[in-house]
Amino acid sequence: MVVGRPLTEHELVERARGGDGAAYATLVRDHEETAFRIAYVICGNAADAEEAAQEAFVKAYNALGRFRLGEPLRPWLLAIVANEARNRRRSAGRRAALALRAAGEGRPSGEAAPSPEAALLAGERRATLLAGLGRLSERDRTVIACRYLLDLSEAETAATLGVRAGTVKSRLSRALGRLREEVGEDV
Amino acid sequence: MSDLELELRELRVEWPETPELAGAVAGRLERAPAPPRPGLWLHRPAWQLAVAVVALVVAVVAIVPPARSAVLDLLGFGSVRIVREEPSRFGAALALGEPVTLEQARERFPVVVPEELGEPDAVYLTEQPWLRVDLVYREREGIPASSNTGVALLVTEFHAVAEPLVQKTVGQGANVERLTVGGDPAFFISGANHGFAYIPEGTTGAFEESRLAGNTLLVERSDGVLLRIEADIDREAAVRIAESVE
Repeated sequence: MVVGRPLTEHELVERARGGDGAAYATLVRDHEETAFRIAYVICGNAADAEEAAQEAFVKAYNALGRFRLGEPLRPWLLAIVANEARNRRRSAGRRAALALRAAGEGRPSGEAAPSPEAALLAGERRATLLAGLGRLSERDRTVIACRYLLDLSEAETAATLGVRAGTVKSRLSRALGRLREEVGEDV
Repeated sequence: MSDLELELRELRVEWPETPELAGAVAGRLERAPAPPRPGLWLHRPAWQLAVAVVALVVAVVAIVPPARSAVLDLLGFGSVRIVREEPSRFGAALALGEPVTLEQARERFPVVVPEELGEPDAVYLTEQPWLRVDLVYREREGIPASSNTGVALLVTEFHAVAEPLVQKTVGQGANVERLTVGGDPAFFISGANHGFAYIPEGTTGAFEESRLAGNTLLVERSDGVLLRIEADIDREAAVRIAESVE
């Protein structure tokens, strides 16, 4: 069949359910970056994150029959990824801090370029924040990463973490409080 | 939104390069069959027939013991142990609620299980007076069983906080230590036999006697769940168990 437009997610899921591997690969490609990054935040290292994300996508394929067509796919996939990443982290028995590095300037567009001193300070601040984030417990850093670093909505974060939206709010506020403590700010 | 939240939103993280997952996944699925479709078998008379035949065979096998091994062998089940998924009633003397499987409990409550302890020996769920889940464990190394009930360790989970009341209500001869477990506030109650008071979500307060006459660790998790671990163990052992919950 020739289709003159890209397939919608709904169509891709239906085809993947019918055993169309190429359709599923397209879905994986659409979500692999966020999936890998969530797994990275949870596992704390890239090798485990890659294995967890890969395993999760295979499991998700086998569970596609249980996915409710019409619902958004991303949170459903990310929940499987987060679960797999936690399992891997547990069985690895490692509790290493997460290493995150800041990239680029990160300043809002439209602002004048900062002076070298200001740039240095801003760079230090970013490094402090990311180091603090890395020292938080897995639960705290994952909720912060979902909402702010990966830009998931509150509903998506809730689905990914398998909790209610209200729980995301309270968990986030506690996690931010602990991050403030980590970076030496008054709460 | 606070300054900190704005800062976090503006942070650009140098993530590790995303591996090429689509290709790897496609490779693994190439050999796999199409994903199972739920309910599809219902539309297939052949499947219905097969199910009916199996049901009949099971009935015959159940009624006529001598036929059992021959029929099971014939069906290729000769060496298969069929385990009925009935919830364990171990620790029923504690009157904790309805015995359920862990999966059944998880349909109602976000149950967490300490890695350190593994699968509980029994799970109880009750809605009276509010939803709570109890995980019951048998004796194991370093954790003796209570002589009354045979239960060594009890993990209780429900939506509540303990902090406002814990200090006042523990009773004479018991000690309360404030701790932090995985970043969450926690209390270790030891010494004399004690109860403790707590505030379940949406109510003003409740009091509960200890169940095993052991020490108790209360952890106020950030997801609103109060985790209680009760056993004849010291603070370090209790904290280790609580920390193995994710």
